[in-house]
Amino acid sequence: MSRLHAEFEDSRTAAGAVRALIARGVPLEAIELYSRRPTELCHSLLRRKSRMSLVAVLSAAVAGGTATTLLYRAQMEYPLVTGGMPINSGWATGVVTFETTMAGAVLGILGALLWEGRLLMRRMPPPPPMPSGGAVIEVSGQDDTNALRDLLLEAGASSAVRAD
Amino acid sequence: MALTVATAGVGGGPVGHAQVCEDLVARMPGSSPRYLGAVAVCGGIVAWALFAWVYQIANGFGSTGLRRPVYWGLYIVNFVFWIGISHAGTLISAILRLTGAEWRRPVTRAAEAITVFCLMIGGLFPIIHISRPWFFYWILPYANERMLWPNFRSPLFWDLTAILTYLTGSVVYLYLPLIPDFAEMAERCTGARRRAYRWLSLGWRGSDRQWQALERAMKLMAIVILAIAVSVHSVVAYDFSMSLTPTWHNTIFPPYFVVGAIFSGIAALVVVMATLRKLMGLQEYLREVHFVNLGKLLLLMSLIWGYFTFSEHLTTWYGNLPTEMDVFQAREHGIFGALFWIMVTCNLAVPLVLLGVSKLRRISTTVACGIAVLIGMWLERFLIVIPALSTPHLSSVSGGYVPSWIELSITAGTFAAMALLYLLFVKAVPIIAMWEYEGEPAAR
Repeated sequence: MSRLHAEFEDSRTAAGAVRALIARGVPLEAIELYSRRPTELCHSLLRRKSRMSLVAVLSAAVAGGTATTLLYRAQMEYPLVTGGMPINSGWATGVVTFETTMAGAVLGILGALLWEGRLLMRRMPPPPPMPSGGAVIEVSGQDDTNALRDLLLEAGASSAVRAD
Repeated sequence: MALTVATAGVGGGPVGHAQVCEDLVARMPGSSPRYLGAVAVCGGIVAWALFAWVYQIANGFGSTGLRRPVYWGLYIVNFVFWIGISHAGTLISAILRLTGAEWRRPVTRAAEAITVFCLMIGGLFPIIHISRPWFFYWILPYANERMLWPNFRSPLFWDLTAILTYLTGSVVYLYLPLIPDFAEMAERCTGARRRAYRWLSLGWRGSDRQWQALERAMKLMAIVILAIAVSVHSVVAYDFSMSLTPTWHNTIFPPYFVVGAIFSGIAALVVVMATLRKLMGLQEYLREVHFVNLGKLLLLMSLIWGYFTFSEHLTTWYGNLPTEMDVFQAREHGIFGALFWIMVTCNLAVPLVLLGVSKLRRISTTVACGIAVLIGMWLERFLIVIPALSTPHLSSVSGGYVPSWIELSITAGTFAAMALLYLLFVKAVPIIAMWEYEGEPAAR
């Protein structure tokens, strides 16, 4: 798969280049931007779909629901002497339900981060060498690499090379 | 009360990501005799505390100062105190992150680390307090051969779930912003350290996809951790308010505990930051503006704490129930009176004077207030736990509480453990998030 790496000395110029690539019709999935610090300008251009909130809510619901069900079953099947109070009460188990729901949300967020950030994936190609202050744009899977290289150089890249 | 915004160019610190990284890595302590000496002293105190714990296990709970009717002594005081301080990190960091307070950047990691360490220390106290720690697993909900489940309606079980959830959340909340820094550190190290940092960075590549996912995760975690933090100290308050002990059975306790926790947490953060600033030479990063801003927050919390304390005491006094008034009198005018007024002075008078007058608001006064508040809040926990139990409700059951060398040693050991954990942490990790910190352009 062809890959093109263009180095930029600052993120503002890189954002301009991303804008130019998008205007030329390069799909968002083919553009990746590497930097040592988050680049706000490019975030707004390369906004990717995320299901992190949904995953957090679902995992919270699953964890809280499972814990509450287990609590209910355990309390009903192995009843304690409660001095006349109900065997099972939402008031008393509510705290545990809340905490396990939150624990589920935490684990869901962590899982979604690992998935969406493609962390822990061993078969990823090595990242391009990054300048300390600027950014590197990677364009992959495009046929017209020469034209794209010219476009990136025009947009202010200090260098643009094929990296296959 | 507007918080001052840190303006660029004030600090005179390093500029640019590479310089910031180099500078922060250079400030991480090496294996100097001074550093090793500090580790040895803290380690020695921790070892002594462990010896005290082993002695208690070998000789039974009778070797402590805990006697009928005071079954909750320093262990529970310390438990509430440390869990309270743990709110420093996640809560303060989360609030500042969600409100977009830019001045938080050099502060957050120090705060988040406090949370994790305090929870580790605070969570130990119930285990120490049960005296037979090998039976601790009985509180875990698992299907055992005796078909005996824990009492799910017990606040002690709620404690377990709340603290475990908070510890999990806090570790994740501390770890997430560490990932890019681990990747950065891996590039700057060799050998085993490089491998360890690379492993910890989980394959971080610095792609925009990863930055977006990280920032999204941090925002969501900040929301979740806020809810957890409030619930945790409420649950700690339920340990008291669910009992029918005079002055404990009180609906104001959960919010009162949460307020106290945030209050003591900010104080701890100020003290830790001042220590790091001095020992690691972080004057260019942790500037006066950070201390002044935290000082303003401390003052605000002091006023809220004062309001809650007044409300709690007023309702007890107005109710005039004999059993409650006995505790009330013992706490304000009796044998605990001196401690009560020291607490009020430390938590209210000192912050009002030193932080309320803008001309006096400086790094030194903020740190002095932080230390005063930590003393005051420890006394507050003491005054919640001990007077209520030691004031006789039955003529046949009376007795005071004098902690033995075991409780005092373990208490000292926990402070040393906190310092030791911090010493080890700052050796392994830059105490300021390198990727979050922006240099000062005007300082060029």
